[in-house]
Amino acid sequence: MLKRHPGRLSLLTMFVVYGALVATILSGRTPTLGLDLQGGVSVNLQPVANGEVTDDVTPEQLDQAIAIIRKRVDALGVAEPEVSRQGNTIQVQLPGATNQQQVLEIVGKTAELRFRPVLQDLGKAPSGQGRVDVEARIAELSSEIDLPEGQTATQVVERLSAEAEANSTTGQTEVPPTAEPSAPVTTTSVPSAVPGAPGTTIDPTADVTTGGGRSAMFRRQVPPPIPPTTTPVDTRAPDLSNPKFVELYQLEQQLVLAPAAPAEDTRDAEVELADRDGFIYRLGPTLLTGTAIETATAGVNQEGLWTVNPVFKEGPEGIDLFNAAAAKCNAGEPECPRSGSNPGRLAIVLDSEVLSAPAINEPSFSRDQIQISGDFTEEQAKNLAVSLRFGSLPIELQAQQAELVSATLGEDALRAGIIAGGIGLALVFAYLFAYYRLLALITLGSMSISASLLWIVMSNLNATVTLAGVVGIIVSIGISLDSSIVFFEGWKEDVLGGATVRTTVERSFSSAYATIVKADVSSLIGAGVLYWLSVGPVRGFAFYLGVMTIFDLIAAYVFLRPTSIVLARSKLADHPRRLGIPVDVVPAPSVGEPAGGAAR
Amino acid sequence: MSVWSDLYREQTDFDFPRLWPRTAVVSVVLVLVSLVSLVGVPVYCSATGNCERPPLNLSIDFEGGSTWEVPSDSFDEPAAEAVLAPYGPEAGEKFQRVTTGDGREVLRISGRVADVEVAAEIASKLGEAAGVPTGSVTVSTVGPSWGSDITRQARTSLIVFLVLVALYIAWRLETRMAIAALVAVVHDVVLTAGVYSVFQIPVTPATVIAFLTILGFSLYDTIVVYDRVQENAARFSKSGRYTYTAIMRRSLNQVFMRSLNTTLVTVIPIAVMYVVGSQVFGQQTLGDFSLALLIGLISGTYSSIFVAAPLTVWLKEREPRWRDLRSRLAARGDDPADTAWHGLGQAATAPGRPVATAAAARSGTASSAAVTSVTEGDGAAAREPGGTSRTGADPVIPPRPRKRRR
Repeated sequence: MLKRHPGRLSLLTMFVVYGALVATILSGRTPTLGLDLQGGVSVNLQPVANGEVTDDVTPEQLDQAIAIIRKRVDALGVAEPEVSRQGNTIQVQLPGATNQQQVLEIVGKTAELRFRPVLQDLGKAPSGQGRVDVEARIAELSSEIDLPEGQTATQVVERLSAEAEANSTTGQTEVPPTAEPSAPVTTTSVPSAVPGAPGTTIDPTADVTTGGGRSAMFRRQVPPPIPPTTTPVDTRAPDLSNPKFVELYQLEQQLVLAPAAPAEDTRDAEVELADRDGFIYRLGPTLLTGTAIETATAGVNQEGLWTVNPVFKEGPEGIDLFNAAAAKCNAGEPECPRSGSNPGRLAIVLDSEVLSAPAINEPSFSRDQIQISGDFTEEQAKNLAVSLRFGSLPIELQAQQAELVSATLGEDALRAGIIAGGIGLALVFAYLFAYYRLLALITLGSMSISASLLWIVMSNLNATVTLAGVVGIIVSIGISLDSSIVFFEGWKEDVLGGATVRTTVERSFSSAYATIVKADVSSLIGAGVLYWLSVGPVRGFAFYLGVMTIFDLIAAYVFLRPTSIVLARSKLADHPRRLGIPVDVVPAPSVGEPAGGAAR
Repeated sequence: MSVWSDLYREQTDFDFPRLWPRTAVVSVVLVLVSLVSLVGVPVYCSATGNCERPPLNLSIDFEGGSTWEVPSDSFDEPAAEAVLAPYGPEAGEKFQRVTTGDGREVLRISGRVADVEVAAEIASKLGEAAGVPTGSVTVSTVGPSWGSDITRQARTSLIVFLVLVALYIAWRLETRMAIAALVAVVHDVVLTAGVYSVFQIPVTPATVIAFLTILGFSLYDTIVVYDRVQENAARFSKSGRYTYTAIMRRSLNQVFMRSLNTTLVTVIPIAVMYVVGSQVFGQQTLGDFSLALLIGLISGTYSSIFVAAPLTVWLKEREPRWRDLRSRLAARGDDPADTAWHGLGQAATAPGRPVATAAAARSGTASSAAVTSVTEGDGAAAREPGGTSRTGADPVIPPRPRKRRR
């Protein structure tokens, strides 16, 4: 239907494309401006070994490094940070950032996987909005519960615990302030692990505050459901059974624990670090680092649970270090204390994040018979294995290129690009109107179609426009117009060759289009090669050049062609001069013997 | 009719083949000059050790260094030098005052500080000294390996691109064309690099990017010409009247206006970008891009007509098919060196050119058939008997065939 009614195709194209353009604009989506156009900090990092840039890294290592940098950068609070990998280069883009020194410091640190003993499990601490909510809830609960005058729930529990301890000979000497008010008397209720597969050597921790899969635990069989309403054994404090009191106590604990800022992760000191869900641990000095690990895999054990199997290196730099740590934790030495009746835990920390804090159930391991089990999901197990592998071969990254663009200079660059593009476009169209008359209008329409397509795609993909991209777009003006020019010249030639404007338009277009496709493919090959083989601004340039070439091919087919046919069939084409075709002068060039021929 | 009017009406028949020997000399000379400047002089220099002219004036980005831009009217070179002094004599090598589009003054400093952290520190000190807030001093630092990375990437891209495009042209068009196109591209590359070398224009990463794009442009033009040549060759070779050279000349003339227009509409925005972007707004990157693009664009247009075309002709005329055609033409008394366009019609307007009538054309190749030839010259009527004598084309010009897209 559209083939026979080119007018309908033109209209449909305009309707669809302009409609999508309006929809995009109304949706408020816009392309993202690159750093060089809006200001900010960009850093390109490359892996180095012994001070030299190296290619000897795996994509997995780089991806892990990116994940770490992304996390660090997120902590900076920049609006739309972008961390991406191009080949072996990690590109960090922080629009709006102004402190380059701080950025360099943050992204340049080498991430180390460390094994640290867990001194204390401090529970979950809310931050940000969560903290505000918690405070509000505490105020609400405090007014509802009848607490002793001027006391908080924490104080009440502490007092009661102290009394219980004094009265009980079997009581714990240590009262870990877990989030469970009844913890002092109920920690032993957690079933200890059943020895599983032959490789199973580490048993679950009895930490009741760890729910779900938030922290990988060794050989955890069944997450012990500890309802927050557990009735405390101590019946002298009946108000403790009140769920509201329990909640209040937990919330208070959370606030007490919340560190103001992420703790400084000093290697050989006691630190407080959180896992990804915000549970905080007090950790001892590093006992060994990831370089002791040879590899790690995730798999399913006989019980059908996802586990992680690290394999340590042989010798004093590998398994011996781990066994020394395991011995301490298993025995519950002060460096790695027991929690309740469970053996001490050894936290796996990567870049200040506690990945997992498994309890060590054996005093000694053989290097390839270690299994970390817990209620891992497949994803969690695989991620932990990846992190362990990354830790075994940490890559050092060095900033090879860095840029800080001030916001004003960025704006200047953008304005210069837009003005230059605008003037260039105006001049080009002035020329085209002089030369091709009415046909230039079609070209203008075709350009607006491909430009609209570009805007729609850029906005919806949230693509980044850099200065190089702007240049690419300006350069592509010429290439886009060329499709019109090849077609118009071919058409003109056919008409001068004796055909009529009307009859030849379609054939002229097909012929021209075949040429354009051939030529454009070479442009696309060029853009593609540049895009895949280069880094940074080159990619932006190549991307927009390539995209505009494709859009031009589309616009030529769905707009230039049908609209030209419509024009050719209309009354306007009665005077080919209006189309820039001077038919009235020459009868037929085929017969003529123009200038050069007689010269021999 | 003036040339312009001819151009507009596509009536030109420029004798490009006659220009080729001369342009070949020009091309060879230019390439030699480029090579001398790029390779010869540096070799001479390193041998004698008494000159310091580098083959290319590589910007600081290639060796590792930093560029700072301090937006301040009052902050001047001595003040900047005072800040940079503790960082060694090479920390501030070049100072340049730039006025931006809205009249603000910026002091641009570049020097050999390749450590990004030191550069960031200098930036904040420059900001303090100039009394502008942190973050308003633009700094761009490139480590020593970054520049060599860019060069390596450019080289890899160049090779991969050339190989892919050669394969593509060989597949869609012809192997001989692919060879000629490659030579033309290499010509452009050498020439553009030569311009940068001879005039010692600073080469920045932006230049390299633009430079790679040029290759696309250069080929684009060449492919448009080739496409037409192939079409014409298929259409006119049967007439036996035109050598490959003549067909190339015809094709070049046919696409000449398109080449001119396309070059113009491409050059205009880039030239504007150069003038407005770099001269008026002081945007160096825009200037770097556009200058390299302009040089390459001009070289690309030139090479598609004066390098790729003659080379293709040279290669094709050695093919048996076209060599035979040449000898047939010579034997017939026609001048194979005549590359002018005579149309395909039967009207005998060309002096000395035999034009077969329609009847003769229809009579086929039978050697006994009386060939009625109309000649205005003298000895041209002497014909070899046999199938080769069929010179008449169809009485009507065949329309341009509809292309089949593969």
